[in-house]
Amino acid sequence: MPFSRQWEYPSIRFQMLKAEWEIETAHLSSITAIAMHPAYQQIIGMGPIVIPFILSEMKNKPGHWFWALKSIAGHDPVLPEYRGRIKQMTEVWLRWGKEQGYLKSE
Amino acid sequence: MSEQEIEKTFPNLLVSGYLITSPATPEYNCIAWAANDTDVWWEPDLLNLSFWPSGIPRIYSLDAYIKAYERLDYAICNTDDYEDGFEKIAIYVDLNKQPTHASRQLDSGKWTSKLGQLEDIEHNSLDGLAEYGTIAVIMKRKI
Repeated sequence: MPFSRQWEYPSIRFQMLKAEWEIETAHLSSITAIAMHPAYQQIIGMGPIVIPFILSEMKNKPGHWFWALKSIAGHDPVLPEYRGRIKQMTEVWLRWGKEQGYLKSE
Repeated sequence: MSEQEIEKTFPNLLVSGYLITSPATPEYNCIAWAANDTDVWWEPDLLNLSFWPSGIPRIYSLDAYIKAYERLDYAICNTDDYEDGFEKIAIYVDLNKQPTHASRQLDSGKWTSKLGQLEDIEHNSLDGLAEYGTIAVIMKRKI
């Protein structure tokens, strides 16, 4: 498999898992329940390769990706006072992504 | 998201009646909405991702949720009947007695709920959201 295809495959896999996860957890009010969905767990299982996909997704549409990012990165850049504040948490993680080279700086 | 999706997930709403009252958003959940908070997601999650009132046990127990609402001057009461001068909330639990949802009563006597990451709705009956489980406790505070 060409190198370019190796990168295409996880992107498609991520999009498929994301679509399944979004549909099946939209009505849930618990981050724990949302994060325990099998598709979300499979995304976490894909490891650091999905971090750019997650950050790109967050850039376009805020969502509960914080559990996955914290689990994969082994780090949480969000200050305690921002806990639960989706907009601020998203901004912090996007900044972290740029600093770590997962996202291009604009 | 759509009415179709809501009705597929909560078929009782078709019988009891409901109205969508906001756009969908992941920024707050039903626990926050019942507390009149649309800025933050309330949950005692173990990864410390969400807001949870300080000093309240960070566990998924009915007692912890009751304590969280007591901070907002709610107290347990006996009935979900509308009472003039009071605002009521209802806490739903699943079969394991873990809280899954909260609704808040409106001046009309109807109820309002945030459906996870979906829309806020106004619903005529607490039974409309039976998929969240059963009502474990009703609380009220003076307004």
